[in-house]
Amino acid sequence: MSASGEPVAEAYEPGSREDFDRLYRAAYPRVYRTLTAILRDPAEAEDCAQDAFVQAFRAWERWRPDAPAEAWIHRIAVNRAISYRRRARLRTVGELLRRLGRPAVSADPAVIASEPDIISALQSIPPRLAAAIVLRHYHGYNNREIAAALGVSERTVGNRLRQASERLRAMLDPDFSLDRSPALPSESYESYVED
Amino acid sequence: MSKTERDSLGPAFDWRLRSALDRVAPPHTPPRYLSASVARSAPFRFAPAALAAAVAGVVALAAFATTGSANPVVWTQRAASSLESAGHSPALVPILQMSPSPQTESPRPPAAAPPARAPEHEASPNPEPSQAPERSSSPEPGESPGPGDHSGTSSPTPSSSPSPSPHDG
Repeated sequence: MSASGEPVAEAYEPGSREDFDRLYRAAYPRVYRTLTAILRDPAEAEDCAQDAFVQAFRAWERWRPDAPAEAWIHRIAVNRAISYRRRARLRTVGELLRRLGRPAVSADPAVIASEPDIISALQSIPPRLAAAIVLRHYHGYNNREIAAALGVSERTVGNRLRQASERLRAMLDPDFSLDRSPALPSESYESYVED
Repeated sequence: MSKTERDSLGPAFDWRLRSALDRVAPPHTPPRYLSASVARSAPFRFAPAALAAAVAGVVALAAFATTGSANPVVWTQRAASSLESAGHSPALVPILQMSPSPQTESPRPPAAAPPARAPEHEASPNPEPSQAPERSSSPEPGESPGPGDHSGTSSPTPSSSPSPSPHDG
């Protein structure tokens, strides 16, 4: 069961058009919100989410229900978002080289004012780390589900959660009173993974 | 879910993250996979027409490369002449000469061939009256021996010994 109370793993029949429509209605808002925390532009998040469902629809007959369907969609969507951000970073480097010597362009103040700081912080860390954080702290996935969603081992999930929490703590600590529990974040994540 | 999973960033982080992402409303756009499933079958719809166009293009290019002309009439003439020179059956030649263009028909004489050659191979459409009886009176192989010839050696070549008189033997 996810954090929002919706069942993560539902009974879907591979290849069934009705079941894929049902999966889209259930998972699209959640996938879109995950991508919103990874990508900087809502239009990019929508584009990646739609492309992920197109790719999933083409492979729907080959989907095996050994993992939750939403985790499978998340895996496709996060991989697309990672590729999207990589290309965007290359475009940004090219743009910086072209604008070399000109005054830096500041971000849109309206966007900055309307965007919560926690989303901006997530968008500034690597997308693999941000995806792990969103899947854990928003969707309520456990390590096994995150591993299935990201296509990595549970140990890697623990490492990513630890790295992400350290970066977010460094960025958000002045604004938010994050818990300072005696156990280090890395220990808590990894102890769960080791079990 | 164990508590150790969540205590790294604390409940404040979870609450802020949930409240921030819950405010994000996904846009109400139609699912893209619906149009993608339709678009995937679109190329196959035009496959026969594309195949026919490709074949016609290849044939036209080959004809152009062979004849050096872009005129289809020239292609037809070249094909007919090449078939004639290859010694195909003569029955094919009139079929290939049936060109829709008047250029192929105008320089050729009408079907009535020159009268000099016609009698050699086929019956003349207008034979002279003097020649017709001579050809019909030419001795046939079975008719050459006369009625009184009982020698028993019937020659299969009547032209060698026509023996017009039955009293010789």
